[in-house]
Amino acid sequence: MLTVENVTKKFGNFTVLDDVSLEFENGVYGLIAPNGAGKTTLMKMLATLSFPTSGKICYCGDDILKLDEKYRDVIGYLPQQFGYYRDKTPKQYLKYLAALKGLDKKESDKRIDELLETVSLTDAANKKMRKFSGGMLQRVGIAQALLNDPKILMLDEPTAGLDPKERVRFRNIIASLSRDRIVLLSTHIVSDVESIANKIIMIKDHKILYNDTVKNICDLLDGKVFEMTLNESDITEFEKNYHILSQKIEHNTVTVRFISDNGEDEGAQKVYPGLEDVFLRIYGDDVI
Amino acid sequence: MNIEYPSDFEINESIGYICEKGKIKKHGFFVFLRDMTKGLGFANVFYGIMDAMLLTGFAFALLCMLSSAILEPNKQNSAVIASFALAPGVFITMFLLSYIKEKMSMTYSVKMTCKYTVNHLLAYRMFVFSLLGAVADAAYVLLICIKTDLNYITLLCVSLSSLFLFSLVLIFAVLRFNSIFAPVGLLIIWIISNGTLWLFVGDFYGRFLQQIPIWIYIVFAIMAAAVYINRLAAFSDKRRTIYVNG
Amino acid sequence: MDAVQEKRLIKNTLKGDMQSADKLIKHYYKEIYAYVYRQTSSKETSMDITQEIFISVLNTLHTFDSKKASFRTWLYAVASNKIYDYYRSKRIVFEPFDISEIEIADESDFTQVVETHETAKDAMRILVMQDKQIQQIVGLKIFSSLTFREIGQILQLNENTVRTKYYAVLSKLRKELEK
Repeated sequence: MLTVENVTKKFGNFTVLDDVSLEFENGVYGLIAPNGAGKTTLMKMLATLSFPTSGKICYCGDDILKLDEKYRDVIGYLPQQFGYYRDKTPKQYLKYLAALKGLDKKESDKRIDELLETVSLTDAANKKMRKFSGGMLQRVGIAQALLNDPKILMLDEPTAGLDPKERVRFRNIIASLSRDRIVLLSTHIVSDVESIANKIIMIKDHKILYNDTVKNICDLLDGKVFEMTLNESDITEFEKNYHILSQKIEHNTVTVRFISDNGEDEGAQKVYPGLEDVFLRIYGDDVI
Repeated sequence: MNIEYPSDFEINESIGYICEKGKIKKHGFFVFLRDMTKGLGFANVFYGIMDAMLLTGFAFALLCMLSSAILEPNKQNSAVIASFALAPGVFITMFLLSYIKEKMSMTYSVKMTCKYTVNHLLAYRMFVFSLLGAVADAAYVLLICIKTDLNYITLLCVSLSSLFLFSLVLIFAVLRFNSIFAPVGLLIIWIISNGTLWLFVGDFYGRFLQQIPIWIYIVFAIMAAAVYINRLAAFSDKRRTIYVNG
Repeated sequence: MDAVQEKRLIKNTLKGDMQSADKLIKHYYKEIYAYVYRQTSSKETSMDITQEIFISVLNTLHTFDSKKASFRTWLYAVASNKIYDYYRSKRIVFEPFDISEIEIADESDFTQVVETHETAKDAMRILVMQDKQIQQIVGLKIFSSLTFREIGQILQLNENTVRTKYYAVLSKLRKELEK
């Protein structure tokens, strides 16, 4: 089990994370917050790239900073900006990283082929990475994070730069991996994690706001989310009276999703809240 | 409470397993070098920076040619100062190129989560660069002696001590600050102080360097080397140095 | 084994001398095993956990600072964290124990609160709902002979804070059990 125990992170006088406590077991965790809210900071501390100002992070009861190399042996990390060598092929780069991770050469060669297959890069395995698209590089990054079959997989904004088809492929890969390890995904794109996460963690105002299943979080808004179709001309008036979550524009009408305690009065239809709705409600002005 | 203890046999078995799983490796810089060479491989330590090293090689060759062209027998003083001031040249060039490249590369984050981190790589490289720098200095000093008729042993001592001094201060600076400002700052201070001494008290400076007894140079070199190796070991395992040993 | 011998064993172990490690662990094995056993009542589980504890001890021995606490106290810190992790990750509540046989230093407080086997089970169920620090304080106080001061060193708390929290949770237990 991976535990974050009363961790605070400050940069000078500025507090990024305030007394954060979390417990991770095998399964997928979605870490959701707008950019700048502390997701990457938390991930960096879990990856030992950064250290808590106070508090500690433990793996199986031992402080990860004390475990040092033994902890690094069981983690796989994909940073937000994944670096690579332009003149190398993914196979060469992965071989190099496998060596840096202290993995056995023969076994890792086999594993690299398997991983390239998993992320659908077998055809491009021997092409120089300078020609790769953002999506392809991201896939190399994911493969790299899995080299040592980590017990803790941390992916920071892994779907940035992926097209919709690649996003689906990514979700499937993650879902298949989650059985015997802790997978932590940070994102500000809710749909990426909604269907595959066992638990969602939301950070707001430097603290943990929610740490619960998708269902429990959505239930918080149950009965309060409504949908209604209006004419474009009526929007401005509507905005004044109701908290609009999102709008979908069709021809010359607009379908709005909004929050209300008694939306049926207006003739709107009650809908079951989605994680996106909760996200927009919580972060409201911060997001846009 | 009736505690059901394991038998002595079971306890010994368990402790045997514990000592195997938790086996503590011997520490020390040369153990570190051997482990990395065997585990990671010499070639992998220099992965991605071979171009920088080649560049330095050419630069050095150029420097040698230039100095042989300029120096003459009657410029002995300048020659002595040059062999002191320029001694860290090859070393610092290779180090800076490698350090900046690693620190500024996007691959830094990923590498820091591996078993062999960027710190391990830098410590290993620094050691190799020191050796290369020493060899380069020995060659460079030989050229100077041929040209200016100075004593080779004296000049070699001057040059190598300068290299040791510089690299020692560098490792302390990097341990303390671990940012690009450390080596760059040190280089600037080195150039300015040597330059100033040469310009304003050149004669005295040159004579002073030549007159220091050889044995002082040797003692200094040995002590500096010992401390340097010790600090390199600390740098390779920076997180260990956070904790105090009981 | 006196303090000087122990210090030498630790020093040698850190240098890679596994024979010293063997001696050091042997010296403390039964004590730590007993501490674990009182909380699990199972020989197999206790052996497993004790093994994990000592492996961790070796893995993190380089971080032991003799100026901050004694080796024994540090051992209990590792042990306490390991037990907590074990139970949290397996979601097990402490096995009920036979109270009358517990060798508690200060029997008066805890045994007064927990009078029967049944209330012991309920007490345990309430305790695992408390935060980690409280659980560690109670566990260390009841199952080992460490003083409040030593527990404070383990958890990096002031001795009085430990004492206050301990008695606070006991009175909370008393109230809950009376319901």
